[in-house]
Amino acid sequence: MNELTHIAPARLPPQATFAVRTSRWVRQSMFPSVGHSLLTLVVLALLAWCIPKALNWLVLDATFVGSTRDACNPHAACWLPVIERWNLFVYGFYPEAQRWRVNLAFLLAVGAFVLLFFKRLDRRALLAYLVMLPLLMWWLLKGGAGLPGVSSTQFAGMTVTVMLGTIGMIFALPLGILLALGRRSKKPVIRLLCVLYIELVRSVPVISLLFMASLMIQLFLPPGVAFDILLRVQVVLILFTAAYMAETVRGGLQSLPKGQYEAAQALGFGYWKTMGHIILPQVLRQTIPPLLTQFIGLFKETTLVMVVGVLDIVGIASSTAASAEWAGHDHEIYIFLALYFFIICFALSRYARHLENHLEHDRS
Amino acid sequence: MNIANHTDVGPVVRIENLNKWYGQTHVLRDISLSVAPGEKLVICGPSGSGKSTLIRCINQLEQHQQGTIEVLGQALDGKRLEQLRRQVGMCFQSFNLFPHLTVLKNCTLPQTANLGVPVAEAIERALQLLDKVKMRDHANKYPSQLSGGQQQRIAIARALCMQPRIMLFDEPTSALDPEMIAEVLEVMTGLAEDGMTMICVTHEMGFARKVADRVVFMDGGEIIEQAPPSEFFHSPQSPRTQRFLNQILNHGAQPA
Repeated sequence: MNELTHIAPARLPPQATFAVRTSRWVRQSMFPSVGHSLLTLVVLALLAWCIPKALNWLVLDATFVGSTRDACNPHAACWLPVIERWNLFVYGFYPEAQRWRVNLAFLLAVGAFVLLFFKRLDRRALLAYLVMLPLLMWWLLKGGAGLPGVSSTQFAGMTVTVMLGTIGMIFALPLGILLALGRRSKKPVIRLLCVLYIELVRSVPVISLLFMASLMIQLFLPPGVAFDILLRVQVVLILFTAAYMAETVRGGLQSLPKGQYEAAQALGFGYWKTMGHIILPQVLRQTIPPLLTQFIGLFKETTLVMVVGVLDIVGIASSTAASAEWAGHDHEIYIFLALYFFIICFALSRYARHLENHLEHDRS
Repeated sequence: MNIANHTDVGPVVRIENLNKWYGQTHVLRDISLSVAPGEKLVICGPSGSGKSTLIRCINQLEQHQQGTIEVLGQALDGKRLEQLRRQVGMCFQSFNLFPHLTVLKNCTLPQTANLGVPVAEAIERALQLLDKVKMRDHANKYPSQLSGGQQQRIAIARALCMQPRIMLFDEPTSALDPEMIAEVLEVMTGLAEDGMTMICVTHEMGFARKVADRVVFMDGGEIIEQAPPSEFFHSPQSPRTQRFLNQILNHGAQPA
């Protein structure tokens, strides 16, 4: 019995002190060979040269206080155009008394991501929140039903970007899923329609779709009937993103083993129950990272609405850079713009990474 | 547990002149077969003989082109398939548990979603059946944390949760390591002792000998021979059966 159950005692791996580990890391990752050592030195020298310069220009010598261009330090960045026009960047031409509505809408959008972090949350409550969010946002921002209406021409800046991005994300995903399912449908008419739609949209640049939405739709409508321009670009962005998402989801559907479909069928699941309970939960888990990448893409594509006359944050930036008041400060303005998009997109991509780890962890 | 009703007079499965083609390939040829309530049928034959296709036709995972299949007195015509499948349990070679659900949820979801069983009742029934396959302690794990034999036992419990009147087994032990085959066969033997109607495609001749009421031998899409196990193993009639038995019994993977 002893012979059978005896197992050699487990041992811990050898430990090295911090100093030993550090010196090993430096040697192995920074100076493993002559070529690498040279490269390391060159990069370090470059960093040593440009980081202080950049810091000085961007922050240390830069101007943060003042109200006109005369207050600017001519040899460093001047952030006054951004600071002075901050409200314009964020709220656009939204009536000042109504800005709380924009703030609330932003909060609701951020809330969606925060809620997704909590694993234990009831899935139905989360879904209800996500379904309600775009409707709430639209109602809050555009008004109606108790709130004073705000014209689309007063929309600009981050309000436009965040609104188009968030509402676009929430509507594009379900539509993309339906298109993906349709493309794999056994019914030829549905399949053909979905293939046609997906391929057509994917082979046209989004900018031309936006032009079509802003110019051509008007031609087909009876005179006097007009769709809100914001609604039109929102719809275009949703339809465009959905086509791409459909392809991502379809890839996920195809990679799922056939046995999953068969097991579900054998247990008496119908088509929608099979999809809803068995297939889509697995596919969506797999495709969360590429889907979030597409969301990031959508977020950046919202800037294209500028070409049809909707002033998003890029539009505000351009008009600021072109204004007589702040002419000559386009560097700062566009650096700010880059930072704004970087922060949001980087956060989204970290978030995708987190979800990915989370889901992998879940399953093993 | 719901056990096949022995007061039923007619056969639970009746197949007549079944023909099936994949493209031009004729995979099932004039199959006629009927299974009585409570009967244990083992179908064997070389690979590609159409035995898996045959039992997949019984719950219509495969569609046939000619002939009739009657299950529980109802002819299969492509309608009301879900109702039929809820009464016919199936176990697959590759288990096909749902990897995103816990063991318990694998067993309760089909009941709640398809039979409308209340959650508490579904859990109770699931735990009872998991207990029967000795997997109750693993109820909160995910399938990927379990061995193949354990997964297959759960797959059996999951199918039984639907309280099926017939159980189909499609090579349930072919994907398993030798030491796990026994535990799955044990569960299947227990099920047979409870009186379940079973149709098993398997190469486990020891199981066939012990449990089957009748062994069906298929080759080239045809039923070549069918007989009770004692007769089938001792005095096979057809030379093809003899050759098959020779190959499989001398291979050393026998008997369990």
